[in-house]
Amino acid sequence: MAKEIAAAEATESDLTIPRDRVSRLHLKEALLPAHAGRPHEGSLDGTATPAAYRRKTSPALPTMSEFEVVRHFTRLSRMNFGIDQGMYPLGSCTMKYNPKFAEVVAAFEGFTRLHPYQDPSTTQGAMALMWELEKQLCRVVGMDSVTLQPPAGAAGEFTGLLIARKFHEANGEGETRDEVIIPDTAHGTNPATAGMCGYKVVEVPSTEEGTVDLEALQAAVGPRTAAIMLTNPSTLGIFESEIKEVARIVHSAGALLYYDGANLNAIMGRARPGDMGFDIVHINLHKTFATPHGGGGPGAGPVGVRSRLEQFLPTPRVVRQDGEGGASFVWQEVGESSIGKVHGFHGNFGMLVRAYAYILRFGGEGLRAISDTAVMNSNWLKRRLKGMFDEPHRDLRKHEFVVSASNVKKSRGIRTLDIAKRLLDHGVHAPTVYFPMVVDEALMIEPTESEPLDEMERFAQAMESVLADDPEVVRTAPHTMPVGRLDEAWAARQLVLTWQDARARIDELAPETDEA
Amino acid sequence: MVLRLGFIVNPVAGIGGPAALKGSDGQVDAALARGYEPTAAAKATRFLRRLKERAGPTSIRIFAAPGVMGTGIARDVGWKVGTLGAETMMSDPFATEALDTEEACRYALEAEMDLIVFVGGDGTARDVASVLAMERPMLGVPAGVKMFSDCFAETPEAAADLVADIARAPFAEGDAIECLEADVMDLDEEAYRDGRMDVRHHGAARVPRSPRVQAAKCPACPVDGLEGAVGEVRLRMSEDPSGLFILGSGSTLAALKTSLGIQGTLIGVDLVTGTPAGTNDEPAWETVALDADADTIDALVAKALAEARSVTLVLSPIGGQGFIIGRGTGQLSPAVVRAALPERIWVVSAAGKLDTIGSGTLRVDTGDPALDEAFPRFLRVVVGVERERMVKVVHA
Repeated sequence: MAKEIAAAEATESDLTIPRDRVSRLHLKEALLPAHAGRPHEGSLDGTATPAAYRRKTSPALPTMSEFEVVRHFTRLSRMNFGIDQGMYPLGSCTMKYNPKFAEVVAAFEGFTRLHPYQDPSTTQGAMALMWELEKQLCRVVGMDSVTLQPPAGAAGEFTGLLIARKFHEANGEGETRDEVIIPDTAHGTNPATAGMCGYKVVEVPSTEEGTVDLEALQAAVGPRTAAIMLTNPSTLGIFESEIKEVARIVHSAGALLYYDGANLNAIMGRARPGDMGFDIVHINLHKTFATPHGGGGPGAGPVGVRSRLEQFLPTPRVVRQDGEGGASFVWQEVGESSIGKVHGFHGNFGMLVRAYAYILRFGGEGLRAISDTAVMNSNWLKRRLKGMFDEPHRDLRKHEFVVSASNVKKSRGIRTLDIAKRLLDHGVHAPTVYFPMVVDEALMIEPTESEPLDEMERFAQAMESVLADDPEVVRTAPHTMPVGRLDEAWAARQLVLTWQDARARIDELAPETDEA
Repeated sequence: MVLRLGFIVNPVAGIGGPAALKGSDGQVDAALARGYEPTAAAKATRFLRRLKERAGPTSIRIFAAPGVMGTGIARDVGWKVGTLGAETMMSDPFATEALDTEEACRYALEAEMDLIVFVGGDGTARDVASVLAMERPMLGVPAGVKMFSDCFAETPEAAADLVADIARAPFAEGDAIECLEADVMDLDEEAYRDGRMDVRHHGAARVPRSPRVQAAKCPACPVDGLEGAVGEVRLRMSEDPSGLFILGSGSTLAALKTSLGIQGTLIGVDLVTGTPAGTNDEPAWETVALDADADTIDALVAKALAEARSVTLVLSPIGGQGFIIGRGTGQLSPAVVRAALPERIWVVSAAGKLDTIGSGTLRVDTGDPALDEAFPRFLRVVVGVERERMVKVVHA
């Protein structure tokens, strides 16, 4: 083969190259530096590819016109639901509107064309952004240092627990402290993360009020406790009024307090986990700071710590150096005590940019207004739905609330699942169902601050309509969606995962009849 | 697949309830005298109606006990059914007895029913379980006074939905229905009327596995965790096997006993100890006593303490009520409980079962009020691998 190429190179000829071939030829030249500036022998067909490898006929690749492809994806998108369409009241998810100005900023070429392995002298702007974001987040949650590496909320939890474990190891208690305490209202990721870190999980019950049972907590803590993982306000939307006492109990036992930041949208500018006594905090940028999620993009779960835990943070960190020419930024290895890296590079940078833009745009006062509005919206909607459902626990909630459809189950024979499905027929996305598990037939509703009164009113009216509906219609809903009510027991047994399976299943259900 | 369903109704089940007779066995005349009517037939009808809607005769073939115990009711609903046994015209519901239930069950076994559905309460469950044992799965349509047993659906409709699910599932002929073990419990009615609460295990049964059998908090959540919880306890026992382990009764502990490789009893208290076995980490477990009575247990505990060995009491709560000591644990004296306190009372339960306890608390009645007072306010219940739950303890 090499001989043939050499032979081709040796021949020079004067080519008249047809115009439609020009661009392709230029491309070839760029790819084959040895041929740069030299004309090829013959036409494009007479390439160096040996005849044995050359096609005789065109490959039968399927083709479609541009508009057919566009229509297909547009149709698909219309079968979907997103925050750009309507309220997405999933509790503890904080599905607030993703503002477009953040998208514009994140699309700046100065950000999109960066590579993390570039020389830091060419990435100073990005590093400055990260440094400033760290400082901003510290102020919001009352922590002393932050890492931006974790790429998601649960990843942030994992990072936080690794830090806790390293802390105890440094104190010679790595082996003895093998338990993590978690309330029964916790997000499922909490016990899962604890398990992944090798900890045993000890669940503590909540009181009738919906707060952590202090007596149970006192009985649970001891020399084997590494940490407690808490969300405040809890997934019931209830603020832990005894949080300082909780912190005292846990710290007295020599353990750490970990804050799950899923519900941070309730308290910005009003309360800070650092002031409550927490040692480690994770923040969901994709929840509180409006970066797109729920299938809209990757998350980001920065973790903040008090100064005594700073040495355990992931490595490297952005450090600011002030010199004669002004400030500059460098990457600094944390050292032996670091837990290591929790991300291949420095974190989901695109999300960090969006969150930074969001914080700059609103400022401290704006963030406080955001939380205040989120809380007001939630209480407005709870009040608007009064009388429709059972309302366990106390009345005043934070940015989300949980109601129970047990009364509806008894009076009309329809369950939370049925209500959720029927809401879809009204063009309303259902809230979270059957969580937290301490509430029977739970509906967990978080409108967020993005929703105007009109939208929440629409939600309430749809709910009224569903509850007044013919129970049989509700039990068999949805009726107007592309997919009806799935039989989940069957779905687990007869998986239809490929289009061939789907085709076979359709044929099976509606066989062709022979026409005589 | 056509599901072969055995169907047996206890026509007088539940009559004792409204008459406040704490159970119907032997109380029929008294109840009738007070003017009460049986409601089992109505519940049976609801079950069959719903089943007809959801599945129907093409996928289910019903064989019912004769007359008022089944065939009569089915025909009223418009369902052609076969008969379990001879069609002796059972027309008087008040003439039926436990023996008739048992006979119908025997026919059901012989005729190889895939599943037997009975309409009744604990008393009926006992009768059915005594014949079926673990050979065939059973399911109760709740119609009795007491339903301490684990084998009932929430409502007649829920039972019908469960059976319909099974009938429509893509099982091949001869496939077994996926089952769970359930406890058949019953309250000693005479004792209760005398003022004593005596709930005992009367056996175990196989019940189809479905969230519809127990009040599911979450329809999508599986009703399990038992294997994990049992595995975790076994691991802890292996850490110090030379102590004396007192294993209580019930299906959860039966599962533990099986996993230890011993022939334990379901309804009795068994004592075991282990010897560390060579290079392999699993100790060899041996039974010290099976279905022991109070005196035997006291003696063995005293001996263990004298030899400076640890004494561990392994218990599981009764579903629904939440008793760990005081119901069906008469063999455990206060002295034994004291020996195990405070660290060595181990409670194990699948999370789903724990959730069925209405009050969310465990209950203790040791027989010694001072000991009850001194009992820990909270216990850690093992609910899975590396997973515990702090549960409040109240004394009865």
